[in-house]
Amino acid sequence: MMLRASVQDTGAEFELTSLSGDDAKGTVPHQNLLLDFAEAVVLRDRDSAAALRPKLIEALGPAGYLDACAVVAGFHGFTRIADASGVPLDERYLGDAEDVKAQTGVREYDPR
Amino acid sequence: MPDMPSMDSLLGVETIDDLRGLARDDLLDAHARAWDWIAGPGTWLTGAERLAVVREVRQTAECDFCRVRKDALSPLAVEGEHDHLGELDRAAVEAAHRVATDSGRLSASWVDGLIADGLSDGAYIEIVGLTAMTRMMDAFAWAADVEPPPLPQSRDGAASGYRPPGAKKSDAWVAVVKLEDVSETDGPLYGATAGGVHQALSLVPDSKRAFWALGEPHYIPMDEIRNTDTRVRAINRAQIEILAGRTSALHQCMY
Repeated sequence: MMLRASVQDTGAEFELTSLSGDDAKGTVPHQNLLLDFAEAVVLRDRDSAAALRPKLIEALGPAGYLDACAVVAGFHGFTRIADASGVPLDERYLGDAEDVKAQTGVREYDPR
Repeated sequence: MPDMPSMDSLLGVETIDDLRGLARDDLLDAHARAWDWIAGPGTWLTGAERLAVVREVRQTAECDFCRVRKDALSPLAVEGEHDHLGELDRAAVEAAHRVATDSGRLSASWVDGLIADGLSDGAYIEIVGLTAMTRMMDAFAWAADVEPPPLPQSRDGAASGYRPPGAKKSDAWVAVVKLEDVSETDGPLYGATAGGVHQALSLVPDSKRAFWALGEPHYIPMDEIRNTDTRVRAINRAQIEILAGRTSALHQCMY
């Protein structure tokens, strides 16, 4: 939901389906590099990460690259505390939740 | 924001300490404080037990059972034993391994099973926090292609056993402290609001505080959360959320 809002506020475009697909549709700067790097880190794909790092540093600058590393790392933690405690989505997000779930490809799964 | 280093200086670093002057100080300081906090006595676990959880989280890379279960259509379809280090009891090992490797397919009944096996709900949440923090710091080191620091020595001392008097089980799988139920003895837990993910570790207030003290420098400060055009990082908010969204989707998480 924050992605949708931030994209709108920055005047860029980005289709949420791109979060789980190979072909990103949108105008966020360096979106494909960012998506590919996040995936390489989550999947611990050493070859992909090694190939992407110089491109990311070139595109984002060293500080941007390290901030990208930090965000991906952070969501290795946020996801786990949310999923392991079973806290429900905040009410303000519930209206968008099903739409976002469908668009992002997050697997339909009822854990209760 | 640090001065711009050269590309070569970043690609040549070997340890996380080498990133000093390249990465934000608040991020590296948060890592150092987190490791120090983990090594001390906690709420339900001693310092030695907390470091044992960290080692067990890292041990999951060698656990065939975790790998097979992660690949299975349903985690319930696979039976077996974890390749563990023998430092924790069975329920604690299961909690650390499963949260570390397959967090997107956990369930209320799985948590209930751990508690039936003798793990207290407080100890479970402390393990969840430690697992999440370990995964976060190790993922940063991996992403930046540097070695994480060596584990600290544990500090002696008894776990406090503190349970927030206002903790209640309602719509989450474990008891949480809602904003209106915070007690003075809990210490500072929330700002003006308390979203669901902020309540996740609230059964163990020290874990909640330590987790977010580490988490915020990785993402964005909480007072900037609603600012969708925030410029507090070297990448813009849409880029941050693309990274967050892809990472969350791969973890099968809505947050």
